[in-house]
Amino acid sequence: MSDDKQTAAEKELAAKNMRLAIILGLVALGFYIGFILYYV
Amino acid sequence: MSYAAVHDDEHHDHKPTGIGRWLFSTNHKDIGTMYLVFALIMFFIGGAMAMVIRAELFQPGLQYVDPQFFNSMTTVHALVMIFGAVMPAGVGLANWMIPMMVGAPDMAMPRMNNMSFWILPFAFTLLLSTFFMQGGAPAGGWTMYPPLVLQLGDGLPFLIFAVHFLGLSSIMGAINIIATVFNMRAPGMTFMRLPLFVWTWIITAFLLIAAMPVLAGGVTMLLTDKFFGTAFFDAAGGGDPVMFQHVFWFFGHPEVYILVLPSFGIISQIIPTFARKPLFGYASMVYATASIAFLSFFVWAHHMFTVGMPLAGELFFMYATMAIAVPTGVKVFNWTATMWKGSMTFETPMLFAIGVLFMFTLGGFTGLMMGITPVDFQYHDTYFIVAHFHYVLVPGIVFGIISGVYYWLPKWTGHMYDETLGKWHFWTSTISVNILFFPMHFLGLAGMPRRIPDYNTQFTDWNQIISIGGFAFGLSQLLLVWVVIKCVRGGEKATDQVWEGAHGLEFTLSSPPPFHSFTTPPEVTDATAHS
Repeated sequence: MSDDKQTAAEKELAAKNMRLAIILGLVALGFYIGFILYYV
Repeated sequence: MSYAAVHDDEHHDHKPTGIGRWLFSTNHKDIGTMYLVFALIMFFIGGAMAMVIRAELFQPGLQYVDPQFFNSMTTVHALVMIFGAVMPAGVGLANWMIPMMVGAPDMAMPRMNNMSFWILPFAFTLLLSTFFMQGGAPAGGWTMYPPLVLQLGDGLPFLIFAVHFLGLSSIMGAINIIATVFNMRAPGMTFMRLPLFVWTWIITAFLLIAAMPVLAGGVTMLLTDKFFGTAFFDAAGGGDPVMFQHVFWFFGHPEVYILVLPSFGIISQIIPTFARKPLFGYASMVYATASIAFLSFFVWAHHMFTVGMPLAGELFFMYATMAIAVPTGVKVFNWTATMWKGSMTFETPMLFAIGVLFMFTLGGFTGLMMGITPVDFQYHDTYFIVAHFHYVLVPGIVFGIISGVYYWLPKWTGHMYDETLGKWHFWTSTISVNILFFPMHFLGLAGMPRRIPDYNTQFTDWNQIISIGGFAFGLSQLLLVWVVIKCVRGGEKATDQVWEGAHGLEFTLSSPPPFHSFTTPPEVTDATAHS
């Protein structure tokens, strides 16, 4: 389904998914960078 | 009633065709299929390496390969089996089943799902290309301990970047699974109604997000030590090579549970189905799984007792290791109690699930033996450890994955598989896997070290038996390929419920399910939920 055909509810769900993905991605990236910086 | 009848409208069931369907797929079932096919291919590539190892070890002395290549075989066999076969197979099953189990139309982020998969062939091309490079393929063990790993030739950066990409793929997959379960559940699908397979995958996904960056950080430091003049793990520059072992196993032990928890989830679906009883102690299974995952971050140094550590450290890691046996014991008890007084039948998925129950427990017990510090000094780096982790990984995890494939294959294809061939596959696999791995305990206790291409002649008899078991196990896996191909091509029509005792949303869909699973969320009640 193309983005412009999404309903408001679908757009809200997509934004919610994206927010969670960004948070979890930042946690993983934080572990990676933090871990290396800890040993530097 | 089949939800497919409600949701299978023509517009939503439109399938792309040709190679584009697979290259650009955003469909969880197609991506799940690609993961499973990729895992099967890697299983045979890794298996071929195991055959080289067992051919070389059939007799003492050097027969077929030089020691450097032998070491590459043991190293790359492990990397391929862990990162290329077992993990992708687990993600493949998750892709196929989780959206259907929670009542979602697809994974939360279908495009990222596509990317997660297509990183894998690229990463393994990097890894396997090292066989054709100056210095050969990695040969210092899958644990990549410095300084040995830094002696690798041109292949080192390829190994390190392959590990980075595999980690990236796993983390993206994990994020997708968490987002799907947290945000896409059908109305009424509360967390305590989730099927155990979904629960084990949520916990596995969090383990992946916590553990994979540690491995990536460790190998990044290896890279900078080799090419950018740092000395994280170089004693001459003020670093500590033992620190890498701590870093690696801080990832490595949770990784064991990343591999095994989905298998636990699969058999938690299968045993109630074929015992025709609800899973015994659903809530305790969830808490036990979470406890195992939590404790897995506090046991890493039991892999390295022999490098030397303070007595307090040895005691801490020994007792923490013992503690993990408690929630694991809860799970084994619950599976057994589920079968107690059940109306059991023994179709192929159930046979493999019972195989997991018996043989994983055996592997778990030998793990406990090695968790006892003074005893580990005797067993460390012998064939006893090879026997232990292969019992956990093959009849414990690979059998779990195979049981899941047999269990859900009729749902995926719409056809029943050949039960007679399935049973042949189970019995040939079970007999050969025990001939292959059980005598390794004896060799280890007698002192045969691991990762060697040659050995003392006193170990010859058991090595020959082991090799015969290995070839038989490898050959018996061709039966799986035969069964799957035969089932995909046709066979008796599967019903929507497939198995008489099966429950859950996935069994309310048609067999095979429509291209998009639930375009309108189903209402979940206690009657349609697993618990």
